[in-house]
Amino acid sequence: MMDWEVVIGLEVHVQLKTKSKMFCSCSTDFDSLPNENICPICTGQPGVLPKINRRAIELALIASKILNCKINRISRFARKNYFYPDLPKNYQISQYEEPIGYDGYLELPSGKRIGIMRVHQEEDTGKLLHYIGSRKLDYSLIDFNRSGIPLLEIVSKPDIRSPEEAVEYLTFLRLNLIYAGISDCDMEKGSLRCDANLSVRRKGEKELGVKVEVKNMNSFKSVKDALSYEARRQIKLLEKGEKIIQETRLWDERGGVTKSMRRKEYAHDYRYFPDPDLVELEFDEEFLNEVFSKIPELPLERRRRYIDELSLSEYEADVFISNKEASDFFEEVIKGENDKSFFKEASSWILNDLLGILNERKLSFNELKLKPEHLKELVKLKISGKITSKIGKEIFPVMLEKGEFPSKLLKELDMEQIQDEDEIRRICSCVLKENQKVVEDYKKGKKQAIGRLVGEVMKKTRGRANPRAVNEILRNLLESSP
Amino acid sequence: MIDIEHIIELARLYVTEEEREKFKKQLPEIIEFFKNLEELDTENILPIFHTLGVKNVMREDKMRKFEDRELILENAPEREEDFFKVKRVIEEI
Ligand SMILES: [Zn+2]
Repeated sequence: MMDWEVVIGLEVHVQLKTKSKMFCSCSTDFDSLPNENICPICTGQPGVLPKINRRAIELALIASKILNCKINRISRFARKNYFYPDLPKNYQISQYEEPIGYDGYLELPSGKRIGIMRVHQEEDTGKLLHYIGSRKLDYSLIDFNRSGIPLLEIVSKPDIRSPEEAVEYLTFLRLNLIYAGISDCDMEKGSLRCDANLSVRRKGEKELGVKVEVKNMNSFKSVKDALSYEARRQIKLLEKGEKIIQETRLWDERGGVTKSMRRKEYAHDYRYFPDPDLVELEFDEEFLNEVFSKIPELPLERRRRYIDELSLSEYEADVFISNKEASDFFEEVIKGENDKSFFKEASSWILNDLLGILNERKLSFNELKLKPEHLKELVKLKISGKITSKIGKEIFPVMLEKGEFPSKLLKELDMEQIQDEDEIRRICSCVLKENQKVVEDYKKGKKQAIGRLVGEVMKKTRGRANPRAVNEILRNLLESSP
Repeated sequence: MIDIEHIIELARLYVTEEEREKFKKQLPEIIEFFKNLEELDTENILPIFHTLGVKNVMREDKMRKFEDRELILENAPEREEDFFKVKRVIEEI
């Protein structure tokens, strides 16, 4: 194992975040009934003409840009020909010689750069079903809702050197695509799919080994497991003096192995040619500038801002970056604020209190009754000393449940801070009377005894007094009495 | 050398034994005929894909439902409820 180097290139498909399909106006909604979103174009009826979705092209350009790709000023669509029942036209509209972007890289947080060979635009196929529930069919069913949904194919160079690094690349690529608004990248819903090419070679060897394509990996974990297995399999064969066959293998999740795909492949004879139904795209400077001016803040930029400008810790920044929903919620809470203690407090509520509860209840941020403005008010109350930590912790679960401003809830629950200074002075005097021993200690010079007295007042007021004010009143009373 | 069997397979055509023999002779002749084009000097000429000179035809990303989807389903060679039904496709391992 030690003498070998693993070489991996990844082919990632993501579904672009558009309302309508790539070449027709059908909906891209995931939660639709079977064949609800179909029309003559995406079911390949004779005589129809495709029309390019501008938004999809913009997103492809943005993806190319953030992956540091060169942009083909003239881009074309090509037909990729093959027969398969999920492909109603018998060709897929894709790109061949003039992809939108090419020759870029993604710099991982570790600093390593993974080359990007190309970023091209294409359309999805329909979905084949082989089961109804758990019953295996002796025929197949097709749902064309997915047919024609815009996809982006991002092909990396063979720069990845381990299954772990493959996952690191995927994780960071995904994050960037989500932040840039290009795709939801939800593997469960199929809006991010990943195939890999893997070969091994002896360390120091310049030539690449024979590569095997690995498919059917449905989570980041299965990417790691499948690639680890495949690397071991190839090394074992080579050490026995056997040869690697160039082929496609499918990851069998249950068995934990890759298996040779027996489907006959005419595959690599796609007979690409420029699609005569689609005219070329030519991007001028003005168009590109306008598209690129709309690129939102990317994860590494946001991370830097959180640390440098908001003074959050690296740990806090990293948790926010990996959870865009949490980070966007935080952004709403801190909108218009510029006090560092505010940022710190808001971050702490979200990371230490909110995330745990959401995980526990399996909720997402948009299912939450608590709104950013509610938390904003809580943070303000807390840092201005209008509520104590204790009251904060008590009122927070009620805010979550009711979705209300804390000020309103505090009033309703009679947990508001006592504003009346006479009232506090009265309680303070009372506490002094009840704690003669502590008062004597204080007068003998044990100044820290005042802490106990403050505690007693807070207990009596159920935390509704401002501890700073209590401290001051107590001190005045103690100093003024003989 | 033209592999006629491969082309037939790619095109998914049903071709009789007799036709196969015929095409084996005809197809290379056709290709040969096209080679006449190679005599032209295209040294400094860029390929063009359309003669219209039209570029950048795009539509806005607006969703519109196609109202007659039932008609599409009705025209399926076979259907089961709202699915298209086809011969079993084996893609498992
Ligand atoms: Zn359609």
